[in-house]
Amino acid sequence: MDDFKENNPDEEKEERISSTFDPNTEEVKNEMEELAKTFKRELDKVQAEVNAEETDTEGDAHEILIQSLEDIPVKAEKDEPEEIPEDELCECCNEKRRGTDNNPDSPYCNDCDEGLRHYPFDFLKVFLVLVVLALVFYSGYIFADHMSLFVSAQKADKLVSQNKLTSAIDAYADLANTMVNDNMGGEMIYKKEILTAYKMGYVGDIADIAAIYKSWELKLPHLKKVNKALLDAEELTITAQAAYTILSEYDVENPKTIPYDEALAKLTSLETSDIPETTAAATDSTTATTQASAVKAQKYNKAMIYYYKCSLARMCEKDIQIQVGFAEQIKSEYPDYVWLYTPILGDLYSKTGRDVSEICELIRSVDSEDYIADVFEIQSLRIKGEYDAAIKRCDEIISAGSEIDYEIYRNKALCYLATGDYDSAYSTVSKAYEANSYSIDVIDTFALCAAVLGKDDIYTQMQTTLTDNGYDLADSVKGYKAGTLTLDDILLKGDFDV
Amino acid sequence: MKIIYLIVKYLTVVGTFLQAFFEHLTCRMYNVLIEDGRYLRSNEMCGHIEHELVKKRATSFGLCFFPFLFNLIIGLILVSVGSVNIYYIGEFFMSSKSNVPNFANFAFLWVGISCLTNMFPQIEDAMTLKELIYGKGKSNIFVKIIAAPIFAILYVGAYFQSFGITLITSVAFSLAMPSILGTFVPQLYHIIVG
Repeated sequence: MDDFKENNPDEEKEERISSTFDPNTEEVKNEMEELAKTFKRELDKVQAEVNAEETDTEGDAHEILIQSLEDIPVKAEKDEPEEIPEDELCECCNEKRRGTDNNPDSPYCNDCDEGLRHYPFDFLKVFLVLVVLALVFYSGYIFADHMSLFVSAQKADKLVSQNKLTSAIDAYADLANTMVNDNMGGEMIYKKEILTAYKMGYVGDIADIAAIYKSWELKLPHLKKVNKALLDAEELTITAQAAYTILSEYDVENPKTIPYDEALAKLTSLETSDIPETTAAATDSTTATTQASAVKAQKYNKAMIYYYKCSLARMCEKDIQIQVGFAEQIKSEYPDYVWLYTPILGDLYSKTGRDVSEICELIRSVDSEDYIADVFEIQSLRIKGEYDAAIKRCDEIISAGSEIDYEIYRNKALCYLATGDYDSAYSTVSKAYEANSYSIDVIDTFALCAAVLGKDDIYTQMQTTLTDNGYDLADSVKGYKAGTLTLDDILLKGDFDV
Repeated sequence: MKIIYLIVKYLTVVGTFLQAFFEHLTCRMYNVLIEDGRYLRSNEMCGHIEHELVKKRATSFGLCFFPFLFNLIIGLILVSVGSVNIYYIGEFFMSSKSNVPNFANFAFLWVGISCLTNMFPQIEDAMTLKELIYGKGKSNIFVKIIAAPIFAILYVGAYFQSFGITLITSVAFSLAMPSILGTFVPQLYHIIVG
């Protein structure tokens, strides 16, 4: 024990003081009271200062609060959050400290980071997307429904691009029927049909096709070509009616009685005339069912006037160069009217021994299926006396599968007639008659061949066929039968044909 | 240019909305943090989702490519139907004698053009993709070559889209669509139908 005291001097000192200090003494009591009063006085002083400062700024109050909390540090730590500097707060919630476990530099806290990575979809947004998806599926159904129409239209377009307008116009007509049956308004397909028909010269048909359009639609840019075609067709129709009215004043059955110069002057006067209102109204009545009647012709069409002048010259048996002159006027002034001038020029060129290849190329450039080009070629060779070449060309065309093989057979038969091979001529024209028994030219040629070979029963049969339908055999055939004309008169002079 | 961009964006609002939706969807798919999920803001972020900077190559590619792909598919389908029905067949009205416009056909065309107008990523995303694929030491030569065509389309498209030029290209494409379809649809139809 003594050793322990020696080793702990502080404890020894405390023991000595406690042995001398008695708390019950008067001296100690006085001292303690004095100390209590001093403490109370200092405390009151501090409280007075605090109360005075409470009326100052909030910041000061906050400081005091912190100061007072510092008095009870353990309790303060439990009730209040840790103070985070503003530049360290989460950018999203503005409450927690920014930075995540994976990325301490993240501007978001852990919770916000997780939430923003799973940003929710609004119901409305999802609904709108579903509506669009429904539209996509519906469009697929519509596409499938229109597929056959699209494929057929593509086929017709391809025919147009290959210049096979005859087949193309049939394809468009089939499409139009399909659309009518489906009560469907495919206006762009009708547009193509109209433009194809116009290019081929079927001007009488396009107003009926254009009935699909509303009158205001024809003024829109996408139907500008249709509007122009309708206007042109209207002018051509009105001009044809006016020219026909002029010529019908004369006895066209007896062309020799027609005063050529007078009739020509009347036709020429149309070029500078305005269309009378009554004519326009009459034309409207014929196309009253169409909205396209909104298209009004303003003037007569010169090309059609030239055409009728050419027809007049032909009727009055004027010089062939006069006829060529009118036709060439159409060609030079209206080169797009291939359908109007090429049949005349092809026929006149072949009869005058001129080269028809240019005209044939022109016809084929518009419609490669137009048989008339083949006919002009053969006719030209035949009139030039190149019969072998003409027969060879006929065989080529027939072997290629022509839709107008009856006309080719007929021309081949005329070649045989010209060369004196009457049996071949008869057998060939029989094939033409088998191919088409309604063609007047075929029936006339068949009757001529029968007359040449003395087959009276066939001749009579052909004559009866025509008379039963209100026609008669050609004068040339009847002349040959009567013995007033020879084959050379028929095949090498005049029209070079029956 | 911002005005033109916004006009184009609001003219093609359906495509704008869909592009933002698909960007949103792709962000969710790749767990990319979205900073602002509003689709139709009136600034250069209109039709785009503001997201964190992507540091992974695959994620960056997905963020650019998938919205492009979805809008392209929807746009192609709708433009095909709309352009065939409107431009080629001319089915403007409900029937041949009706005066009521065929709204469905016009809707197909409009929504289709809208989708094709808004299929490209925003230019910043495209540049991020460029950095991640073509940055120094980022990819091997094989990846660079394989990604080149699609990256070129996305990058040029993003650039055009930032000027609103994609509206013109989309309309031009829709006009050419019937001819494009005409090159293979008839053959396909004959194979299927016989």
